[in-house]
Amino acid sequence: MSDRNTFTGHPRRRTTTWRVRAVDRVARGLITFGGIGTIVAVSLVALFLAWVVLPLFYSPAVEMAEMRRPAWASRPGSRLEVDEHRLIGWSLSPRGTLRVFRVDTGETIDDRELFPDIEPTAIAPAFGAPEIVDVPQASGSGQDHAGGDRASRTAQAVARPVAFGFADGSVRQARIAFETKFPDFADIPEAARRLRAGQRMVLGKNILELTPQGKYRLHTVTVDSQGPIAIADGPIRNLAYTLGGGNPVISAMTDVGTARLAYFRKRTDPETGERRPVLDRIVDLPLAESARKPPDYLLLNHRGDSLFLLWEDGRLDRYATANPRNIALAESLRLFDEGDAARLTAAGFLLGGKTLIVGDSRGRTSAWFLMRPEAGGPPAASDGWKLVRAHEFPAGSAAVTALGMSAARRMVAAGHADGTVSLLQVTAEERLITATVEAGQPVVSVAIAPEDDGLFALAPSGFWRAEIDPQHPEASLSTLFLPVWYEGDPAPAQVWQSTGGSQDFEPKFGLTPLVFGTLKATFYTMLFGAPLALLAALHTSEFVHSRTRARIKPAIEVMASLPSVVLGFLAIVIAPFVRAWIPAILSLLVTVPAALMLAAYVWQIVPQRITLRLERWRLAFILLVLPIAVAAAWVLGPLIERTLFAGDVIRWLDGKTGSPLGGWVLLLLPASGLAIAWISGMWVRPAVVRKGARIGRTGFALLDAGRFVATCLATFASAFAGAGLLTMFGLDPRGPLVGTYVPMNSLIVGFVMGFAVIPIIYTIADDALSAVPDHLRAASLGAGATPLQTAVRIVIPTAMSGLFSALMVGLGRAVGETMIVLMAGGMTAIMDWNPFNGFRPLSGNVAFELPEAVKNSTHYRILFLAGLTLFAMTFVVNTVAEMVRLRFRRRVHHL
Amino acid sequence: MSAIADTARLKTAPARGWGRRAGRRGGGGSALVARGEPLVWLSGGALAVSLAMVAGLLALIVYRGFATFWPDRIVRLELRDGRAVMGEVSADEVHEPSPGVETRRRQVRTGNFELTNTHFQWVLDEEVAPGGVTLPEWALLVERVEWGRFYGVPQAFAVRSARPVSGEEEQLAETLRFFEEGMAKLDEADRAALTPFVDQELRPQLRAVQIRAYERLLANFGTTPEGARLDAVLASGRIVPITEVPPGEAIVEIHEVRTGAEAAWDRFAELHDGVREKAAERRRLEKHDIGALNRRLETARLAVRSAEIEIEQPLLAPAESALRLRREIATLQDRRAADRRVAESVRQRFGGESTAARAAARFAAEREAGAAGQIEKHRVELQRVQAVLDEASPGGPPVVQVFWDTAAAVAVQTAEIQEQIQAIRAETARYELRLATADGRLKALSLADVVRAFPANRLGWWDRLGVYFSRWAEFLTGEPREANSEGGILPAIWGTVVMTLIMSLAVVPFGVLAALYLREYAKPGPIVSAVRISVNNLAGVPSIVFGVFGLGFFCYIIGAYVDGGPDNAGIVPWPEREWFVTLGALAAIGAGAFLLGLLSLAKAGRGHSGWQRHRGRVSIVLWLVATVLFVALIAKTPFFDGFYAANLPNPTFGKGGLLWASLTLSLLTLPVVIVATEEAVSAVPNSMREGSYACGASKWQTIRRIVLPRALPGILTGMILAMARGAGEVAPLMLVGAVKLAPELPIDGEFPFFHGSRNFMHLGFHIYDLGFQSPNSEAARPMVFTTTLLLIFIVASLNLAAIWLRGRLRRRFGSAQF
Repeated sequence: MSDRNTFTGHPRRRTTTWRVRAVDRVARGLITFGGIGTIVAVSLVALFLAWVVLPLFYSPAVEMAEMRRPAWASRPGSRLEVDEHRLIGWSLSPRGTLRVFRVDTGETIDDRELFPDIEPTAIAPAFGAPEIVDVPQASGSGQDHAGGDRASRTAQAVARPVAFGFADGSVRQARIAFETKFPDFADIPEAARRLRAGQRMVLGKNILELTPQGKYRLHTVTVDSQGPIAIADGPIRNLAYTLGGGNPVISAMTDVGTARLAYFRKRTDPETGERRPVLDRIVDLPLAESARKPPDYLLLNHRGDSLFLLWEDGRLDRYATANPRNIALAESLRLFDEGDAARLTAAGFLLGGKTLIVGDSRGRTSAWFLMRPEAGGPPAASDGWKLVRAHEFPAGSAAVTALGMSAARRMVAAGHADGTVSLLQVTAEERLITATVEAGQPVVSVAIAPEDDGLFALAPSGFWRAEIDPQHPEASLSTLFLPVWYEGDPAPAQVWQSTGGSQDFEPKFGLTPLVFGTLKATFYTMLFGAPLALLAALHTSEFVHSRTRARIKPAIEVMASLPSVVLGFLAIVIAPFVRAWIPAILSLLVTVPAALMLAAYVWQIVPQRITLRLERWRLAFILLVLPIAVAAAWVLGPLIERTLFAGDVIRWLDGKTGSPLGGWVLLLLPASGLAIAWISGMWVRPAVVRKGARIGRTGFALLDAGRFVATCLATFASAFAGAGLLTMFGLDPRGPLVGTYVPMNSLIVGFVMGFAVIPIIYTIADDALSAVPDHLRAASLGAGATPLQTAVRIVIPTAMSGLFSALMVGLGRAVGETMIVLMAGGMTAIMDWNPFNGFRPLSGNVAFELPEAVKNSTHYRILFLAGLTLFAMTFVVNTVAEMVRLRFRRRVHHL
Repeated sequence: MSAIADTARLKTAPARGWGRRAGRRGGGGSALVARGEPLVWLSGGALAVSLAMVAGLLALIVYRGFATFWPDRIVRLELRDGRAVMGEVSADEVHEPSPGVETRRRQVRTGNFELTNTHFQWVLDEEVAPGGVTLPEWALLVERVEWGRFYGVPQAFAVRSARPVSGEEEQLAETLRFFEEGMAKLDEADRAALTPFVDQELRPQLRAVQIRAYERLLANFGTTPEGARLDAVLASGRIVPITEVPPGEAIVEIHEVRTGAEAAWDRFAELHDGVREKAAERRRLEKHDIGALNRRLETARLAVRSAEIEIEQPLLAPAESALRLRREIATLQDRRAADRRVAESVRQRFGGESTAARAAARFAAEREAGAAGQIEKHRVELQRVQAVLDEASPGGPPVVQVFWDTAAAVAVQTAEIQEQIQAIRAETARYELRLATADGRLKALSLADVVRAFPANRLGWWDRLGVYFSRWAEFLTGEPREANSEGGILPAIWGTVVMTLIMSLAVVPFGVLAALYLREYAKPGPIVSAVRISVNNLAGVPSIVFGVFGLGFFCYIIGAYVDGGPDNAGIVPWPEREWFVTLGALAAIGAGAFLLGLLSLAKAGRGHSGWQRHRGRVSIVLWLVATVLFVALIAKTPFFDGFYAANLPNPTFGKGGLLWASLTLSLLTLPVVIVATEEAVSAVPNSMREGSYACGASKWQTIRRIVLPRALPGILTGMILAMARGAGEVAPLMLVGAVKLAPELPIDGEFPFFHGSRNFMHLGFHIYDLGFQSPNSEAARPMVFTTTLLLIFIVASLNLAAIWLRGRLRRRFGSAQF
């Protein structure tokens, strides 16, 4: 190397010092790895969202199942319940024996006769989620092991109300409760101090647990029973019980075939001062002829306003019991189709006490609920409701022998005669899990753990437990995007209602209304923003002096820097004004373009000497026209309101007053304007131009202005004519197109979101237009084209793809905008195009609900899905825009 | 610049000539139509509307924002039905109760919420009695710490002086209490014996002592201060002038009252500042000192819990139990001592042989016996608990001892501070301003609760300016009050600033690194342009999506991991041995790939054999895979139990907080920085790079000495734009830690000074919360405008700085970018 000839003739030292080389390599390595690492990290955003969403579609799993065979057997008709920690459980035999046991070993802790001196003849637990009861902080009965006199620090109980009927015709109400206490360390016996975190032990009639957080927790089952109330005059055979939201109702049927209903009302107890249910009245049930044979099942729904009598052969009688003074047979139907020889083998209410679940001897399970039929649907029963079969599950392996309801979701566990259990999700009509308890032995009782993470069953030979992960049965692509038949609805529908007031509320996760809301917001935003921004960009780049342009552009870009929360607040501020001035604001849409055009025609009339000199202040004149247009709208608005909308637009929109004529006129105006303008441009203008060749410039300008006025009049006339025609046909825009006015509506969102979208579209469009090479313009102008002709025929076609990309970027922003739609969109998840109504978009919904959503719950994951959907929507739109823009850039480069 | 100017000339000049020629030819019609003036005007109209929208919005915010703090006149409206309304008129508009009927109505901010249950009232014009609109001269506007504003006319100013209590009186009162408690337990005969003593000796003695004290008090207030009246509050609750106190009546308090609006106002103005200072001191004690003590105790408690987790034996529960037992023993002993004291004082006062002394001794003994039994029981329990602790570590674990000591110290100090607070409270509660509302009701306001008061209708222009600026000062430097609708927004400003700064610290290095790679090192090709497009697109991804990511990833995974290790974050850890082996292997592979990359990348671009050319690419891929797997493996470590496991299940980092909010926003603004930096880097002319290479500089030297300095303004522009975007963003913050009211600042004087896990307040979120969710939106609205003004000011000045920098950059390098 060194002996090559050099330019200067002197040999040069060509080696780089090792330090420079090393630094160079390290820098290269760091930048390369750092750069790529950063980019990869950013791209993980989408992957992470997908990773969170994915479990929505996992299928449920049984993680661990085992059979315990303790020395106790279960009789048919026993009832089983387990606490939320899956630590302690109880089973209640039909003879009134309560057995408390430890769930993980099946070991019996306590065995007590609830009524030692009298044996119950009927037992009816109240359906639905258990009650949460605060336990008075006195020394509890569960403290006997320590003999301490100290009250535990906190105590809470999850109670199941149960009614017992007796042979003497009396009824007792009781609460069987899981009670938890946090005892003081000093009260904990020596033996328990060896517990490790997470371990548990039996302590007397309780279970003591050391939680992973280092706290001692004591679990007990307590029974709190009230005195007998005489209801019937004979031995009670069937019993139905509901809490009725604080006003319990008990129904009892006797062996002799009479039925009575006992209503309780909340009264203030004179002794303790607390409000508790007191017997209000006992009413005889006027039994129909069909009830001569005593029913096999007697059930009351959650509010106690319907009493169901079910027979094994599938007959069902429903009595309306809402009003104690007027109880009557409402409807009578068969649960099985004609010719179906199945027998009813199990019945119960789903969480919420509204949906009746019945199982039959062929292993089928079906869900029935009361709904109010819509007009044109099936006829309602005499009380206005109708019982319908909404969901049905295909036959299982054998007859259904037991039903267990989830306390959190719309899930049912069904036990079968061949010893299998299956877990069903009712609303989604899915069979989630099937497992075997003990082959060949009928399942006596099944229960789902309160947190839905366990499944328990009693078989004659023992106690079975399984740990399950039901995943997210209520979410699947079809339930998210297609109509679902929710409890109490007349028909399947797409609904988003993720949270409700009560514990037994069923969340409704239909994403379609949210996607619709996003599209609606985008539509109205683009309707307002896109033409404004594009025209403004055209004007800035083509018709304004470059010095003016340099001032205007930053002014509009200031708008882009406005935080969207400020715009959302603006929407809140202007909403009352918009409501008060709605006619004037709607007239602005007509008066502003009309006034501008009129001013342009007046401008044409002014002699050219003057206009040429004034042309550089044209924008100022245009700005001056705006207040005139506003004034015109202000005058015109009330006028239009009086003549077309019976004096009050808002009332008109409600559909209360006026004829549909006014609405049609307003809706048809743009269309008729375009049509008339087209006709005028095609035929009238050439004629006028031909005529005008002889009358000189000013004369022609006058003629042209006249033509414009005529066009306007023709537009109105044709709009009126069309509106009259449509009205004559009896069509009304109120309903499908416009409707009730709400203060926070799409109109306002469209306007305010314009602030967010206009500057973006404007900037990119203006960049695209001014990137068109000037030699094209020069050539066009040189060939005799006017600036407008140059703009329309040369500049816009060349910049078309750039303009398109501007629109797409604007669209992307409108889709993802959050704060404005959150604050101004009204957040009502409805699907209509009415511009005066609100909507609930994906973005606003996520912002509103995610902070409250429980980590890894179905709701949480569905909100992540909403986020992912938004990501995908904007990413696609932006990518298209970017590709088009790059293509345009290359093309312009070649010009 | 010049190119654009040329275009403009080109644009206008031919048009003019063309028009003239057309006019001369007389064919004005077609020329006029061709010019298409209406369309030009229409497009101009669109521009004008856009400009009007910006101008209108800014004007609205600036006007309403600046007008918020201007003190209005207080108007009194007499209504026809005899009622009267007084306050500031906040709106005045034409109202249409039914179609066609128009009337004027005024919205009056009437304040006095605790009396009227409303802050505002609408008054129709026809409701007002003729001549019923007045500006009462002395109407006072009072801004209060609680309950919002108060409007009233000052009637009087009172200073209360409570009667001092002597030691003797206290002792007698205690004795009386002791006997009254004890007598309930006595049998009939004993009670009969003791009752005469209590009624005929103890009570009269107490009363005599009290009357001596009143007399001393009266003597002190012998003369009436000038212009004031002295009132005495009697034990019966009656208030009489001090000169009319019946002899022998018990006086509880003496009020020095100045009546008349002017006198009351003067006295108020004189005393208010001092009382406010004391009240501020009290708030500091309540909030800061007590808060610090509570945190100290919590820290000690958490230390015990940590030790408990470590040794896997119960510590905290026994430690707390022992603490409670000791406290109960101490309380019982205190009570015993008090009983002894009373018995002793009775013996001294009434003689050892009196019925009273014997009864007292008996009572004391009875109570002592009960207490002793209790104490003994507690002692036994304490020993048992102590034994558990001793078992955990002989002599009791030191953390537990520290916990006990801290608890004892904190209890003592808390009591001291509480005493101070009580003293200040008693002192400040002595002063009260009595005001009459519009409807004549009297209301006494304690001076400590008054933030600011002024007679609005007496103020001149200059004074009103003073009020205006003092309100601004409070707004910018104070803490929020009244559900944020009053007071200041310093925490929000502070939160916004700190969050934005941390965000830019995180975003700039990575953004610049990525941009340098894309522009200087990556070989242009389809992959790089795809990456570039994706990065550009990320700028268009809705901010809420980043919020969702931040919540799910930073808070619920990383944060939960930091708090309690893999288990807490929902990650299943690996078995130990496999973990070690895999970790070592991955580390080796990663390091090897990195070194290989260093070696081969430096030679890129020169002709090599196929393998050597691909070596660089392979090593990068290998490194990436190894790094990702390495991170995943670290996440699955079986050894890490989290730094804040003691606090679980309460999350420390596993929830929204300042750090996560900053990181989320830095992810959001990363594309902005990358794009701006790329633009700036590519604007550096290639000739300069080539010149540098020609001089023999290496690539890194070229970048460091030539490219980066030239691109610096562009990078700064990107950073400022990112800060502007970050400061104005709200939607993601709603998910990752911005809150309505943060009790503590994210940076303060307490170790470790920066608290990344704390929630924070943010100006944008403040606007959202106050404007959209405030319970009293009417009264909050002016504040929202002011906050909006501030936010826009911050964001706009950041943006203007960026625009200015970009302009300078363009001028310097003369390259227009599209």
